[in-house]
Amino acid sequence: MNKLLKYSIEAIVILAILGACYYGITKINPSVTRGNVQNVRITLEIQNQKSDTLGKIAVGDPVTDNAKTTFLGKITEVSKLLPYRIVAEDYKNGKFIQSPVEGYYNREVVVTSEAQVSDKNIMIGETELKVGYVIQLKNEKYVLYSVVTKIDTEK
Amino acid sequence: MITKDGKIFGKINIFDLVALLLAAVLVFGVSYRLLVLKRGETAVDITYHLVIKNVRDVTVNSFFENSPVFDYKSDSGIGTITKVEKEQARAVMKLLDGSVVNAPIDERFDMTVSVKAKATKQGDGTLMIGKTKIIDGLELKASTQKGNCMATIRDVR
Repeated sequence: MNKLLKYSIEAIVILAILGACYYGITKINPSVTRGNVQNVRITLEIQNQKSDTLGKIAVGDPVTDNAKTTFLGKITEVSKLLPYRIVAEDYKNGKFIQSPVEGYYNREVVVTSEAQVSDKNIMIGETELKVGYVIQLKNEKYVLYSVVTKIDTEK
Repeated sequence: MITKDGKIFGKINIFDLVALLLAAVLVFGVSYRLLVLKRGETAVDITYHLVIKNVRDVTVNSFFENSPVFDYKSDSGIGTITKVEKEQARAVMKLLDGSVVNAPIDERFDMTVSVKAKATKQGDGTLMIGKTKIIDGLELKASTQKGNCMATIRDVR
């Protein structure tokens, strides 16, 4: 009985230490809280580039998040060149309009990958995916800033 | 100081000592929480709006009904989204004739996200959800599974 009590106390101590360590790690790095592994389609918009730069992007290109050095996956879709537009004032008609900037374009790419999906977030390695987040895509041919515009998870 | 059988000064087992200290800390923590922090608190169901201004439709589409919403800073859940509404974003513009109008912004939206939650009402009337204060006009970084943007709390009921 005495031995059982002793071992129980020691087990509680070990569990408490492990719990404290887990709490500390997840507080310091919330990305440790993982979810299920699912396939995701990430749509990224590369903005404000000249056509020859955007012409280097091709289906099959592997891309890495340059900031986190996370391999994101391969590009599976590339849109045609889209006009790069900025908000401009139309003082005559009293409205703000989307005005194309001559010689500069956007291009949307889709990257397919596996990610950790939870209710709280979607992570590929250390890279957190949220609409509006800026990710610098890097491979041997280019380094380009992109904005996450859509995230589709498998049903 | 510690003998071969793991006892300090030959009297107390080191694991037993750690366990006793841990138990004391736990008892103190729970008592403090129950007797001091909980004094005067009441649980209440609330609804409020998160107002997000001047965003693209892709941002609107990253907030879903029936999904949880989080305060990104405190990393805690702050309720469930019940409705997402959008309207044309507008901003003040002075026209060439000197008049001032509330001009529409093409392809930009103002979002109103309705949220329901369980909150605790503090003794001074402050509403809290976890570590997040829910006060009309307070700004926070509202986060969902797929979206994240600055929002202003409005219409707390």
